Amino acid sequence: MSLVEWASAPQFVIVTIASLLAVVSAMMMVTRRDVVRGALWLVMTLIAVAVLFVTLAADLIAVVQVLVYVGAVVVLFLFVIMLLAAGKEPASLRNAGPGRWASVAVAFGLLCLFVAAGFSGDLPQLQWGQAPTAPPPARPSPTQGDVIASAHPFGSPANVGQALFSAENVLTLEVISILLIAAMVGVMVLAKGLRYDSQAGDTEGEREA
Amino acid sequence: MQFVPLQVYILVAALLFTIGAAGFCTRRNVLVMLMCVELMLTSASLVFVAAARAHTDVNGQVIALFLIALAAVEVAVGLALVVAVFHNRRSVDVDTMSDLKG
Repeated sequence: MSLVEWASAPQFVIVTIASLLAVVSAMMMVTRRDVVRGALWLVMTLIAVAVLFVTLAADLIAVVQVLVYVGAVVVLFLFVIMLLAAGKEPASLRNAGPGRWASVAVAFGLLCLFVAAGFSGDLPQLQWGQAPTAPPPARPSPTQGDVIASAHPFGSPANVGQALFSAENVLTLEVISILLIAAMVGVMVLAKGLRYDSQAGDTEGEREA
Repeated sequence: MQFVPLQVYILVAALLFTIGAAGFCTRRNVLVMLMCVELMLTSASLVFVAAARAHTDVNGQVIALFLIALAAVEVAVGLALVVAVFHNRRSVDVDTMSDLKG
């Protein structure tokens, strides 16, 4: 396939637009002084990444990405920005530290490292269009048999759900659920400590109890 | 049959991670730093989903789901800490949070 033919293919146009949108929005997010606008540019980046997920036959991940990130995480960010009235940065935050350009240089070196690692070796090309139905048995394991034998197309919710609750992933799932409960308890403890702090001067007795 | 090379996705993920890391290092507002951490986690899940597609192994998408849950946990605890610090310091500048500096 010639380069011109390849570049004019519709999927290449979609992937290019989504990629450019993600990268440009990320740069806008980082460089904005207004934190609220930064959060809205973060929304743009996350939606563009969700479009990239759709092009990778990961429809469920794309939906979860938009629901959780845009629907919960960014809204939580906006709540906290409004709560703290930290929308506009004070002028004292504008003068960057001395290590600013050094850290940018380190990040650029990180980029070179990633690109060198990602572009070395013979990577498989992705096939657009219909998803493959039969995943090849990459590693023969007895617990993975039901996933391989499933008739659901790759990346469908049924396929992801079967893999999620298969024997090799269900322990991780339980650990994640324990982590969620621990985070919820931790946030409640933090909020409770705040209320004692704002009411009385001696908070130590309250915190011990 | 049309093809999209996997390198495109890896390049985008590397760029997103780099922008997030650079923003995390240069910005002093702790809220923006947390948003940069979200950006880096998203780029990691993009690599996982691309690898899952390339190898037709759906476990990569499962890991992406776990990553999204981890990001939600991280931002909940992180923002609670930010609110707690702000009530003591009245500032979101990370340079003021240097009590443990030796």
